Amino acid sequence: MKIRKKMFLVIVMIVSFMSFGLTMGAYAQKTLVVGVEGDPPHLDHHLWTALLTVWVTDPINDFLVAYNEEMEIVPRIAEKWEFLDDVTFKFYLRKGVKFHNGREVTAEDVKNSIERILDPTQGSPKRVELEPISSVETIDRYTGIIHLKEPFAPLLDKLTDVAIVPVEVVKAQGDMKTNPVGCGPFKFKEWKKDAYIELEKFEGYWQKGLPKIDRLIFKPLPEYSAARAALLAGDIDILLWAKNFDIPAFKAYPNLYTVGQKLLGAYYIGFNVKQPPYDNPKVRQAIKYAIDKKACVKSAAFGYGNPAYVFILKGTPYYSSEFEYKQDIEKAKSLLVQAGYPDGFKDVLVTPLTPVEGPLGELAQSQLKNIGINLDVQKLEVATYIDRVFNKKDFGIMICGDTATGDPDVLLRRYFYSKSPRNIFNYKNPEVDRLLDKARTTYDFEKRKQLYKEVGKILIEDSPMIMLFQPMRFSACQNYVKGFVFKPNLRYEFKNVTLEK
Amino acid sequence: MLKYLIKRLLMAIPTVIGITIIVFMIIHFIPGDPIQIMFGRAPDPVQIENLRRFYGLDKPLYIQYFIWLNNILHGNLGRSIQLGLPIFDLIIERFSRTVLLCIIGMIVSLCISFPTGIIAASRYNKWQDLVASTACLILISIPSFWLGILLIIVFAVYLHIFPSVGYVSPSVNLYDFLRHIALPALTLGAALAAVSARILRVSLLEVLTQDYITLAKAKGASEKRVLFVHALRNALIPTITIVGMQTGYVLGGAIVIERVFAYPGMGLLLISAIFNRDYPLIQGAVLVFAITFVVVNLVTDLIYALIDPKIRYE
Repeated sequence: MKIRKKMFLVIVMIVSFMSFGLTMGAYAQKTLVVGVEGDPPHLDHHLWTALLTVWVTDPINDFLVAYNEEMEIVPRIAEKWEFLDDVTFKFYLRKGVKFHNGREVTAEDVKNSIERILDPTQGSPKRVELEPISSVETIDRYTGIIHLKEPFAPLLDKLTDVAIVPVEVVKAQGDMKTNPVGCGPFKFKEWKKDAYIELEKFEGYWQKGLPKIDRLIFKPLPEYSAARAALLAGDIDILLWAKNFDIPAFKAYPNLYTVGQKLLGAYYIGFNVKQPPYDNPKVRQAIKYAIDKKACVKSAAFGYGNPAYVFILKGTPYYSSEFEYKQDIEKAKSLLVQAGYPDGFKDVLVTPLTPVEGPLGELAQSQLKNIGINLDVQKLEVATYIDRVFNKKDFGIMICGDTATGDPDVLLRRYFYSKSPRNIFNYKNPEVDRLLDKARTTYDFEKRKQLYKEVGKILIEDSPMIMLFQPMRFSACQNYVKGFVFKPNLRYEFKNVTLEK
Repeated sequence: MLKYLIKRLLMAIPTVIGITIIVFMIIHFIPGDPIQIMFGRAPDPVQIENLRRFYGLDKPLYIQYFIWLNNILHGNLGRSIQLGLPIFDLIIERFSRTVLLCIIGMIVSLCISFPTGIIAASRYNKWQDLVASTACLILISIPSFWLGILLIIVFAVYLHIFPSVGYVSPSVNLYDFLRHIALPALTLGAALAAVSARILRVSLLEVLTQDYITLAKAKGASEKRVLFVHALRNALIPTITIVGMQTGYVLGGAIVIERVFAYPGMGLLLISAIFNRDYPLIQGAVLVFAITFVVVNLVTDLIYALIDPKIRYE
């Protein structure tokens, strides 16, 4: 009897403890918990190379201008701007924009932020991309001028990614890797590595009424099945990357919904055009016609995506249907014969060990077997892959992917400009260089579109790179999450999110 | 006893140093370095050169090693290249969490294995033994990774008893800490429990056939007294040996568990350090793991000697 009484009391205590814990939740602030696929390497926006850094720090920062969901440039902390001439860009800041430390944002801060990126001692990977900026001048507290070395059409595109930060904080801390400060809708609160990154609402944000939630927490969940379980269990509100194969399953859950976006990014096969047999353009073209892009979309993206032809992608106004070509196995075979490989050849294909590129390697292997090319697929761990392909250029044929922004200059110049340090394909075409330079220094949209069309056609003909497909990317959310914005350049916005529980 | 202890400690030092040398060589021979990773697919040769020089990565390997060793001997573990944070602080925080997980995992495993092993041995060949032995076999065969996800699906997604992933510090909220650590500790402890239970069962069975057990029974001792006072103590020796050996498995298994449950311990830290080629952090973490193994092995041997008087006088 005594024991039973004791047990009863213990059970009552446990139950009341648990319900106490549950009711506590009702008085909590509005918190959005987002599951991401890993911990960012650091939180310094200017130094980002991994998208994880940018996803977590975009809400902390604000920019002169930004892209909206339709990939149009819209004003942010710059109220308006104008080109005084081809090499002089004047911007006018909003008044009353504050940093998280309370100080007002001035033109001097814009100058300092740009200069920090350009400073070679700071280690920013964006330094090369902002090179056409020669100097930044402040006219008064809220007005400044960016002086360019030459006309630079992608300037606004670049400015969407230049976070305006209080540089005195950078100097005091050395960097913003673990303690970022910005002028965005959310303030950095705490980063417990591999546990969570906590941001809180910035009351002084210049857009009145935003953000609508009080806390934004990112949880790094490296194991996808566990992340998925966390969403189903209700432990996270948004699963930032819901894998394509899972989408039909997510759609079947009544309390979840998926948000899909056609990505401004693509997967491709790349060649080292100095290494035989890829130094022969007919070999590259043969491979181009042998590949079945639709099969790639079906296999590697589970049907969610569309074929791509060049790094001028659908979803940007520069895309042209004239880029499209069809698979043609007979043409592929005859090109190989013309190139002097009637029986095909053997070689090694390197690909990073990732969920999409890995299977793509095997797919390419099986498709190219049809024209007699026997490839041995080597899947390398990511860091090893980067070292071998991007640093040592030790490859003949490889598979990779990349994300673009709204302006085609970024990737086309990075990969195909003869003097680019990232031209890992060793591709040198003076005509492409000339057209890229002209397109970059022309502000007229129609002229640029025409120039990029010519570049695209040359690249498709020369085929230093064969584009495979543009994937769709998804996030999965609980039904009560509203206002989540997902842009085609794989950037997210949380300031309009509300939780309607 | 003391001489034994000192001898073992002295032998441990070259072992640990040897481990650090081997790991140092391996991570430097793997392609890639932390500066390259920082720039990813957008290399900037000018900045890469500068940063390599800044971190001393342009010096010959043996010099880099001796600089590191020298720093260690002065108590300086250095700073993480990736984060810029002092490695000592990082490791203390993360390692204590992993140790906590391992300790709770081992407690859970002992809570499961002891009753199971004892019941199986005392009800030898009856249905209790059959059920226990089969359960152990199944648990040993299941990969911990899979078991972890299975437990999440059952207990978090369907039953909503425990949270699926994550960690809450015991100093912040003890109740939440226990809720979050339940599933990872259970996963970690399960396979260890199965192995320990089987060893305990076998050793108990062997001991129960000994003469002194028959004598105790003849003297009228109850089953309970026979089991717990006479048999268990002797059966514990091989069991403790196995449990000690399994500590290595537990520490290593914690890495997989940490990834599945997003438990921010040493395992996740080391994995991300390796992927980012953060040399000083890898070296520091491996050093800590190596020292832990050596200490645990030593402690196991000491406990062994404490339990079995015969060993003490060797």
